[in-house]
Amino acid sequence: MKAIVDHSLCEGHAKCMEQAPDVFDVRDDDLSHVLMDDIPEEQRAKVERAAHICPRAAITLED
Amino acid sequence: MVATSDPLTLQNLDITTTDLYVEQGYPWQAWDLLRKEAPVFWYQRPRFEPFWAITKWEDVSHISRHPELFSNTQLLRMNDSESIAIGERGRERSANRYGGSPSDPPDFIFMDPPQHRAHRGLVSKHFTPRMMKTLEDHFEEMSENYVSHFADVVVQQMADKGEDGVVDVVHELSAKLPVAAICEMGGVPQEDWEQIFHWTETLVGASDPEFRLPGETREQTTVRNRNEWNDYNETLIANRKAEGLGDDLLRTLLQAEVDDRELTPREISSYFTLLLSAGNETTRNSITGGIKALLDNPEQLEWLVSEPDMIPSAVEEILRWTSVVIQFQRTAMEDVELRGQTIRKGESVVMWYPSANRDEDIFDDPYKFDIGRDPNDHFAFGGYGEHFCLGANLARWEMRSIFHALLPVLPKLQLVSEPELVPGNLHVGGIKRMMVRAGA
Repeated sequence: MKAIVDHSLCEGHAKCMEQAPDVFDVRDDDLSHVLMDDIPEEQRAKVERAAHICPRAAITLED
Repeated sequence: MVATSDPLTLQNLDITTTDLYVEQGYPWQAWDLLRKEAPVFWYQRPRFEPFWAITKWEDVSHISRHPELFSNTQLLRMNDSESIAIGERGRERSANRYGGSPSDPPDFIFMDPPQHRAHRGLVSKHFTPRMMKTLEDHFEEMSENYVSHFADVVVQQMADKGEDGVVDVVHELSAKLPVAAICEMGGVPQEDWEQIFHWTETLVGASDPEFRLPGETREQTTVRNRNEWNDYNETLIANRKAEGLGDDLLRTLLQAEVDDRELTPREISSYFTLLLSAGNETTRNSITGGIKALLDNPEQLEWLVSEPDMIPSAVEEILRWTSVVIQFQRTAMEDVELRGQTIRKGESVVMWYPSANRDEDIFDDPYKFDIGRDPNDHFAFGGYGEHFCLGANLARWEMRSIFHALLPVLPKLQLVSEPELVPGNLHVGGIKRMMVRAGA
């Protein structure tokens, strides 16, 4: 699974990082960065939840 | 008129008469019925342009995630025909004062992407969690001061007047931190905060005779208020340009560039007004409503007092429970199917956030106030997407620090009367007054 953060929407609310800190990192640029190209299966539930609750709906997932 | 004995039906339910909100509170039963029987409902009533009433969480979510299908550029806050006409004349006056056209967006909420992203993005860095963390200690300190003042007033009133020693939570506590925080962020000098509070209160309360001068109509109050605010705004900006820019929201607006141009005076003024009023009105009501919710649910208050680490979770539940913003409106950009209904291009949809926040498909036991609720994916800040509340983090941090400071005080308070709602506002469920006194 891949995660893509739309940086024209992301405002650094950091909800994704709270859910899946191994996958999302919100940096000093107030943007969430995806830390891995290929997200392991055991992270799936957390990452799906992160996409679901992103306040700006900025995260899309691809299988 | 519907007699109280008539059963509630889709034909007679009423979610748009503001007097009913004041008399009976939010129309929870009508929203429950809509969610159950007609979640995408063509609502037609006298004095209102018909609209699709959207009452379920999933549908509010869908609309919020698709600004390309549901536009903000036309009608934004559903209102009766008279209020809409007043709003249109306001746009004309604004164009006369600042130039531009009455059809220009009044502020950036009235924009769609990509324009919306460019304009909102100018100020969004002031509202990130990272920014709020830098203000955390300061908010804590201010909250301690405001709560300690409030507690003193409550105790003094009780000492002076006994049982009659009642205190208004709204003016003695809830209003203070939101005004102070947003004014500080905006660069408004402290001696003007009281005045700013009064203007934002009147901005949403012009339908209420209490906020009018003798003999004024609602529209005259609105116009006077707007003129006074715009005059103040222009003076503040002129002073700032003369004396140095500081380091705050106003500086950001004055230095902002979008599409290779500076912001127009109208944009600067309207964005500043938007941030100050939105930062003021809503959080104040959530604080007041949260105090009521905790006093009404003593077992939840006891839990919170024994586990202060629950404050962030309690704040989320207060936000869901109070649902201060009632609705926003969108216009369909093409024909859209939703739950078997066809919303035609050009038709209006209105998203009822308090209803989404009681959706039984999303929230277990939605009418239980539960500070431990998890998950709690409420839409108190709107649906997730393009227009999610810019100030959500500010509101959260303010509420956390106020309730933290309030913990030792709350168990000693007693609610004297139900909150008195601001009449005539279908957009924000404003609380005008809520009286408490020192309890047993």
